[in-house]
Amino acid sequence: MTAADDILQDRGTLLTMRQANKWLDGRKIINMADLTIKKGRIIGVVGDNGYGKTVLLKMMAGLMEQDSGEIVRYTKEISFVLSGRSFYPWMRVMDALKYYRDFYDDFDINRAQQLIGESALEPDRKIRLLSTGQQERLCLILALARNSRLYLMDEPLNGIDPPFKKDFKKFLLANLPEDASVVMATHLLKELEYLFDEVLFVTGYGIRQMETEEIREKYHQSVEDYYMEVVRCEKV
Amino acid sequence: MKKFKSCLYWEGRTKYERLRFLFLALICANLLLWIMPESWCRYADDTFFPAVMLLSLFYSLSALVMMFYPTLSLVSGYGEFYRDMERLTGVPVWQRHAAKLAVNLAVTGVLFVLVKIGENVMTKFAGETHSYFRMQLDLPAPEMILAVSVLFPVLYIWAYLVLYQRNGNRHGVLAWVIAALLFNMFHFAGIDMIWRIVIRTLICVPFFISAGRMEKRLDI
Amino acid sequence: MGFNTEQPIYLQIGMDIKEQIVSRKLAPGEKLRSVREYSVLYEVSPLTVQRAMQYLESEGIIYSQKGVGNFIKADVMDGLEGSMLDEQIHGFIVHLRKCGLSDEDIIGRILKEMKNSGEEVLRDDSGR
Repeated sequence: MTAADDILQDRGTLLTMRQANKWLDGRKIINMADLTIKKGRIIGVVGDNGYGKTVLLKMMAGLMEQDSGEIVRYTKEISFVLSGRSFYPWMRVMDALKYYRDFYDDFDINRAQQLIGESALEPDRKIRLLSTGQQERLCLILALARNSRLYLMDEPLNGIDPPFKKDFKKFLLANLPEDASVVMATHLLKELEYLFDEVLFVTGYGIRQMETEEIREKYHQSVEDYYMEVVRCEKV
Repeated sequence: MKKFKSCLYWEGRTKYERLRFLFLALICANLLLWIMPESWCRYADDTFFPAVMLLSLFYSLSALVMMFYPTLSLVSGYGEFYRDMERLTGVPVWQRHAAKLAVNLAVTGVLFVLVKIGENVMTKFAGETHSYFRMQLDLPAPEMILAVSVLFPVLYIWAYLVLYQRNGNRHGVLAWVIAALLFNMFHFAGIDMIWRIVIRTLICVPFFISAGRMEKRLDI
Repeated sequence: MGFNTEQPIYLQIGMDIKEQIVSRKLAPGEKLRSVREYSVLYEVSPLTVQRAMQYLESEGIIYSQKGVGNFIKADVMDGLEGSMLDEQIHGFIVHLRKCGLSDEDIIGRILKEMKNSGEEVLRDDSGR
């Protein structure tokens, strides 16, 4: 890390991407990505359905490496929220907790068990047999019971049954550690817009990082409208 | 070290969950046949010939599992959803591989013992004209167990990843052929088993390291 | 609470809290809920809540005690009620004007309604 990076870390920057590119199957999925993730922000990742958003998140998590450009992480405490399918087929709820306890030093299993109880999840139930909403809640609990600084979520509300969908925002906000940041990919802007401090618009032409208040104040549009009318039509 | 122990535990648990019915079936069959008096066995051989054949088939299949499963289990995770969960732990690739191989060794050892007992009890059915399931081994037992569970899988996963790196496809059969060629490249005439084991293991080390490096580099 | 896209969210939250003070749901000197509790309540990010708190502080409505929390100022009602009432009356007058009433009409109708609801006002006073 350079001296400039040290300053960034002190100022509460968690992760930066500089001109990152990624090709998959011959297509350029991530094009010259420049972005900065600061602490204490909830950031939405918005883009047309394709796998740009997922790739971006996986690159942040370290599951994928960029082909060129630079990704600098100023913290190791990055928590990638899994999906309900991400476990061994035979695993039960309690197994997932034990797995996290075994591999993550910052995992608080007591807290996790408490949240499991509050969410009415049975520790002995096979994860495959839970509803999608319950699976997502489990994944959230596993991630939030880690005292991380950055949480990465890939379309957490996708296909979730309504009761858990309704509770998602409250549960997240109630259990998010202080000063932690969230980067969340979603296509449900309408429901989540007011949650976000910033948005990352992911298009085939690049990534635009904007503050949601800026969009509302300057353009008097909801973020969703702005995305539909402005970003999607742009060929920057 | 603590994380490696955890790798051993979870890999062991995974294999146990996958194989426990087989273990149970083998133990039950072995127990049953062991307590069955020989006269009953003769009677069964005469009248319930298909049933005895089925038993023999069962043991043969178990032996096949013992030979193939350790190798295939090394790459069976690729492309599965739980790969993210494994990779996010941040445990170094070589530790994960080493844990898989160690569990392989234990599992193969247990399977070998169970199948060997099966071979013994099946002789009760043998008559003058025919006999049933017999394990044909080219190598002495310890060497075979190590080769099947550790050495060959290392060569296989190396070949598999080399092929994947070349054109992004998963060539299981071709990888197997390459691994078999590599394994049989060295002919040991007149060398003690213990030295054969040492030499073969040493040969596999660079393949092990290379496979770890490749897996890390590829998005697999 | 439903938000609109006309104003910044933190401002809308600030106004909502002002409203609660004026309608006596929150008392002068009372401790506000924590940032986290408000973020869960309004379903917005903690940063937005913090901005709302900063706004209220800059308006002289609350003060912050480090390590303890945010408190409503004891003298908050001086001026707050007045400024909020002014806003309400302003909006009311603009609305009636849009309906086509002249200023004289407006005053006339207000006086008329005051007479009709005169007794109710007295009853409210004695009830307090």
